[in-house]
Amino acid sequence: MGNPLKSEGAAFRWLVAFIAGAVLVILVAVLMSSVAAALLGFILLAMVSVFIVRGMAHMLGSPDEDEAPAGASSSRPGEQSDGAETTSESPEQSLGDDKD
Amino acid sequence: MESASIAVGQGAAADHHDHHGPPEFHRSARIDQTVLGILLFILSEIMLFAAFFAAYFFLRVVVSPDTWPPAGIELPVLIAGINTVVLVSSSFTIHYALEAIKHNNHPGLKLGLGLTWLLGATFLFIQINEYIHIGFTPRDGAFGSIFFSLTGLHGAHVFVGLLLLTFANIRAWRGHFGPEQKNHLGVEVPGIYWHFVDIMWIVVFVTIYII
Repeated sequence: MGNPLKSEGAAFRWLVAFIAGAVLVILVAVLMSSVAAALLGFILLAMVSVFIVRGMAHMLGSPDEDEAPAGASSSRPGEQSDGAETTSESPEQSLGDDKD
Repeated sequence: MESASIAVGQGAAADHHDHHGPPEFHRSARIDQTVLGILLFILSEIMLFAAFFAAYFFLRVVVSPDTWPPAGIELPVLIAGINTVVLVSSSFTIHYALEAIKHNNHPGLKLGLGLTWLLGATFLFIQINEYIHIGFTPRDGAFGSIFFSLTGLHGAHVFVGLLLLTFANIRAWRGHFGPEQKNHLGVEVPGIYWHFVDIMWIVVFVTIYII
């Protein structure tokens, strides 16, 4: 699933997952009780939060971390880049690529 | 003549330099600024909704643990459920619109965006109609306040989404979008926002009307 803000396709898949989760919570609320449904809802939201935070942590990481050779000189954010493309994922890929 | 020759000389000197203007930005994340912008915006929106949900559960669990909603208040669950189906359907149509433009299908793009706008407007119309006939107001206690606050906050987001979709529709009819990713950002970014608004409604609907 990954980060829902990566692309529209990723957000759409998360929407479908939320629909499935909502159906589950509604079924529990109807068949069991509101408290059980609320607990299930909180658990599902917590799981979703973990997934999303992990996906965003990777996405917001510095592209310098992707540089292959260990010990090679790396520029920090704010330093002047030498103009070479160091990202493993281009901006177009980050938004347009639906593969997770 | 002399000034012209100076200008030409300056232009030739400038051509010798590889780079003009401010230095190129250093990309500090794996995403570009546009995506980072919508990401930070939606994260701030999630925190805003979280504050309202915290208020809702505080009122429900701490202030009025026995009777929720208060006696005499009957929420129109069926109408809200139909409205939920309407709004969720609009996410499918905007997804269809984006898939259409990725395959250079401009009529599909226009159809998808137009349907999304109509479904979003229908949702807002039904919600306003629900407000008129619901039988209580924000002044009628804590439940009324938090009900109108949460659903109203979401309705405001739907309204903003409709504005974005209006621009996207106009641009689609003017032929501004293309299959390349950089040429349909104007659909993709509102699409992410629209899915966020739909997901938030699912949470609002389940919380207020079901649980």
